Amino acid sequence: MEREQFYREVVGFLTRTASEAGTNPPPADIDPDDNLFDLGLVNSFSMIRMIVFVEETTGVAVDLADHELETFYTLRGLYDVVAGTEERV
Amino acid sequence: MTVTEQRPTDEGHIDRIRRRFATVGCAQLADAAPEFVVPLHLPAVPRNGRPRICGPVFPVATTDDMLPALQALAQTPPGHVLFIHNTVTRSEAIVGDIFLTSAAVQRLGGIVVDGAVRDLTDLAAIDMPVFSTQVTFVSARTTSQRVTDLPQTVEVAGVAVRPGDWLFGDPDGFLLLPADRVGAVFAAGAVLRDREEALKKAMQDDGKTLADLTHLGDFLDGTGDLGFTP
Repeated sequence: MEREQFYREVVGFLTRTASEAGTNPPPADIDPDDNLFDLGLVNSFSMIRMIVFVEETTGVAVDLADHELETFYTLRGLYDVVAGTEERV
Repeated sequence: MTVTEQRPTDEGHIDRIRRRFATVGCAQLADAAPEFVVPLHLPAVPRNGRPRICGPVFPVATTDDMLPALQALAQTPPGHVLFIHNTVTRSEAIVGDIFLTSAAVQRLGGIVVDGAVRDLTDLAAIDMPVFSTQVTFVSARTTSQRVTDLPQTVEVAGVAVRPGDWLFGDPDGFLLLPADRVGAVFAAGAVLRDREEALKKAMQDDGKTLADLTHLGDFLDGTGDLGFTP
């Protein structure tokens, strides 16, 4: 999956979950490096749903054991994880 | 689309998860992913001072018989947790120092005995976590009743412990995770842990209390909602 398509898929997911939760949707100008926590789009309890969505959308099993934690906080980091371009630790 | 690139349960992968489990406990995993976590209400405690255990589980059932346990020990792959379910209520000892030494030599992830162990003094010197529900110096016998289906699914406290599921145990208890969700749940649990630590630091640095952070006063006054999210 191409990077831009991945971003659109995840933003679409976040938009749907925000709608279900009655919270603010992602901003139209969301940047791939924006912290999704700081934007209020995910929290510790909804994180698992986003990761599972990423796994099922891309067909790649993400694995914290191979990545720094901060990688999971941004769209760019998430894509790098599933694309295998994030530096292994 | 389904996940197509599941991680193999190779030793390196298991070891990386184990090292992360040193800081992300059962509480964080359960809070972060209650839809995937299966609590295992097993009153087993660490018997040699090593209070954390994790890995893909290799279960076997026995009835006060060493032979199934010995067969399972021989077949348990490195990094896996040998889970021995003794079906009797008052167990004879299934695991002792020689058994655990072999497990260490085989580089298992540890042993959980739903039953008894013995040789506690000697177990302490072996670098391999071992948990059990009971202790007795009376050793189980060894029959000639061979087990032909290993590993087995065993039922403990109403929960099916299936081969390949991941078992996590720490001072808060035990839980099971499907193997194909371990990475995702661990990532979410680690994030939750990270946010909790930041929250505690903010409380300590700013002098905020839990009542402040949960808006408890507003809630009790009927002027606001209760709760906060890390």
